Amino acid sequence: MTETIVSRQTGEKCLHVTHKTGLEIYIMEMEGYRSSFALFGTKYGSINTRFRLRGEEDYAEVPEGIAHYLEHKLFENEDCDAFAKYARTGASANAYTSFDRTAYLFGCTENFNASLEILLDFVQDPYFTEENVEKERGIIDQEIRMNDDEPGWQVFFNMLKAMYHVHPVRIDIAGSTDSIQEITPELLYRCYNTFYNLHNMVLSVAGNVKADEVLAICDRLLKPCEDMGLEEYFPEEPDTVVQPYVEANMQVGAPLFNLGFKLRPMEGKELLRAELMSSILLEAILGPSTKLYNNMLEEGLINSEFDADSPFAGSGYFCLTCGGESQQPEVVRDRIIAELRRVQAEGFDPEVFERIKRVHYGNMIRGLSNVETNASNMLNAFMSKVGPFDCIDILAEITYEDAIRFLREALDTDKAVLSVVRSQEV
Amino acid sequence: MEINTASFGEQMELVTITEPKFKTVSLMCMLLFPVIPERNAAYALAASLLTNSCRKYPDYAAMTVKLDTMYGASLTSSMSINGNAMQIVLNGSTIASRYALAGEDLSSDLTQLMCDCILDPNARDGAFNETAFRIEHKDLLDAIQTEINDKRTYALVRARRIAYEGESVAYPVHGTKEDVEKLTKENVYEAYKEILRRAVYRFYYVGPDTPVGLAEQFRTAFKDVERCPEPLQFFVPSPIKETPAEVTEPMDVTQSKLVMVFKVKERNMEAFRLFSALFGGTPFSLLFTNVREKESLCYYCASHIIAGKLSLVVESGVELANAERTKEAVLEQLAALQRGELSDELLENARLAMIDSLRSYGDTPIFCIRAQLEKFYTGDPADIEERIQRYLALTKEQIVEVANALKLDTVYLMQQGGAAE
Repeated sequence: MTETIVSRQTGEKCLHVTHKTGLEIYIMEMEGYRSSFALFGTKYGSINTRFRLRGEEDYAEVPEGIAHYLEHKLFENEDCDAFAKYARTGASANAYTSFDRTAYLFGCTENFNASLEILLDFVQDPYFTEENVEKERGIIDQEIRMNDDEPGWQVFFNMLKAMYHVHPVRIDIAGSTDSIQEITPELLYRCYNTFYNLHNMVLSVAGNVKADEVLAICDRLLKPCEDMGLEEYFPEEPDTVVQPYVEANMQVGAPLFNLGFKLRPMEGKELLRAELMSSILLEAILGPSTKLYNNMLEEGLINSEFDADSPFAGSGYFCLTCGGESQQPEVVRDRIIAELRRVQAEGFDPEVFERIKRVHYGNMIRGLSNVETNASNMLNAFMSKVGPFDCIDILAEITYEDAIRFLREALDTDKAVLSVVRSQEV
Repeated sequence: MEINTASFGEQMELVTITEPKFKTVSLMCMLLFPVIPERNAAYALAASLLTNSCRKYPDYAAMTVKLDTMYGASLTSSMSINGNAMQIVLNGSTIASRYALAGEDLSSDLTQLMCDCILDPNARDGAFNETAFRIEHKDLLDAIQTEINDKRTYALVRARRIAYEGESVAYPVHGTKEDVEKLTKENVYEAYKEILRRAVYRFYYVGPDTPVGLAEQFRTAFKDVERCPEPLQFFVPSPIKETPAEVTEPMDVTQSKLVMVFKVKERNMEAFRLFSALFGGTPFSLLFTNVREKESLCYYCASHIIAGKLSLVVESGVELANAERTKEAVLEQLAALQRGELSDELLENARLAMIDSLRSYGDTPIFCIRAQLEKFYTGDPADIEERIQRYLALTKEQIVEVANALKLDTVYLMQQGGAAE
């Protein structure tokens, strides 16, 4: 199936192809640009630890951090590693694993087609041996230790652990120094064969590219595969938080905090709409233009590091978060909760809503100028089960009344978690 | 892409870059002047006060509302040291007017806002506004205090301070806690006036079209500013220590950080950059393939250069037991290059990566500005294509020369498992 998708708001367009192998392909040709960017991604991240294929009775359970381990190892083929191949084309390559996805990517200005061939080739050609899997363990162990020393990382994950009882979003993306000891070539192949099925994957390309050339390369290199009927298992997550407060000690110059609110999980367009409303609401209630923010700033309760983040959501999890630095994070939490409750009861100025909606529109326009952002946005849309331009189209439709209703119905301020990292008192 | 340069006063230049494909407008204002280390804190606080409010938008809330109405425009300030020059950068960006829903002239708005911030700050009677000052003062103290939070950056900062000890660049760019504590709303206002007087002004505008008369607009706005710009030096090689300084600092961390600083005396920037790319700047470099991949010593072992100080920095996060071996491995790779052991393939691949990166410069506003800045810093008018030709002309011998010119100056180790002082 081939279709051209056009944004109703900006006129931007891209080509969407469902390839005969099952792979979804998005291509945005960007006139006047010299560079190109490609991502080849799978719906497989740190939360996908239990699964089965059609015909299998039991769910397999694999060690924490295996999706990330697999990402590291996939760069190594039997003949040489992918970086060595990219080196010959001049492309700048990388990969990332998050909670619910893994993506392999490159950017370049020359030799795009050759680099695309490398990308499609190595991601479809795993090579795991006892020796090369063992070799990677030390490298990943150091990556985990590096994150252990990052207070920003720790304060966030501690919040997730205090919020989610059983959902695997509470697991660190790279796993732990213990869990990675259990990873073997056999397990890596098992996960690879389950999640790196083209029916579970997407290719997203933007910039100085020609759609017909991209598709010709796909026709040549994509390996036909059968949809194996992947089923994932997520344990039923209680509607409550585990504990409302969690604290850890690390060497930091000032205490860091993260405040999160657990919401009912959603997906697809419902989630996208909820995420957009949440972003606007957080900005309208906690952002730098508000009385609350400025009062807290003037009283020295927060500094300019305070930020209401984008909503954090995926399969089976959805929370609103904000955070920063404060000597009195508990006081900040109480002020924020009081303000959220006040706005739930009284509402806020609809003009503020329209102003912040305009900010989001501006941010989306900015992204359209950027090759990498366009390619990433198309991949992210696929992962979220929405269309590439749904975000800007849905934004245009959201009203103040929608947002305030969402705030009243979806946000329960009793389901809050405050995570704090501070230096140990001596 | 069309590039034009116009002067709008003494040592005041505007570079306009017109690129129809962009959907955004960017305006960068750089104020450059020789570093006076003990004044860093005052300049830093003055710079942050300029972008968070001004007379017309007298607090954070009012400024945010203004930026919001400009479709989420951004306006930030930052400070860094390059050679002997302090650089204060005010960066503004918004969407191009053709995307404005009500037909607003956003590039004019951005230009006016930038002028208001620089020339009409939130101050009266020789002092910044008390509340604005208090907020930014606390913010700066917090920023200095929390420097320790990001261990990788902190290790780099510590290594730089040791490598450049006694030089102005070694002094904390935002000053020390004690410096900040001495600041008042009056003496920071004095610092602000000094910046206007001492600085060389470099303004860069990038957008799909350039407003007519932009340079004139700046000329009119800045005509009454008292001026006494001072000469700048962007390449100030650092003296090389006869014996490398080796400093170990225990800290309560789970991973040690190793930073090695090498210096050279002569500059051939293209050769130096190409050297760094193949030595530790790419995922196919010698450090990545040998220290990380073959020996599995670390997650990262990478190099970058500090152009203004003719220095090459190697950094790695390692287990303490492997720190010494990592250092040896880095030196072994350097020694091999010094002996001329450099494959044609590695050289060509690094060259290709550098050229590919340069060719992408025209696709993002910030890199369009960076290409112009490079000309300003070096005094070399070469455009991107000429610079690419220079990379193409570099020989293996020139890379080996760089390797042999590099001298180890500083080894800093943040040692895990210890208690910080």
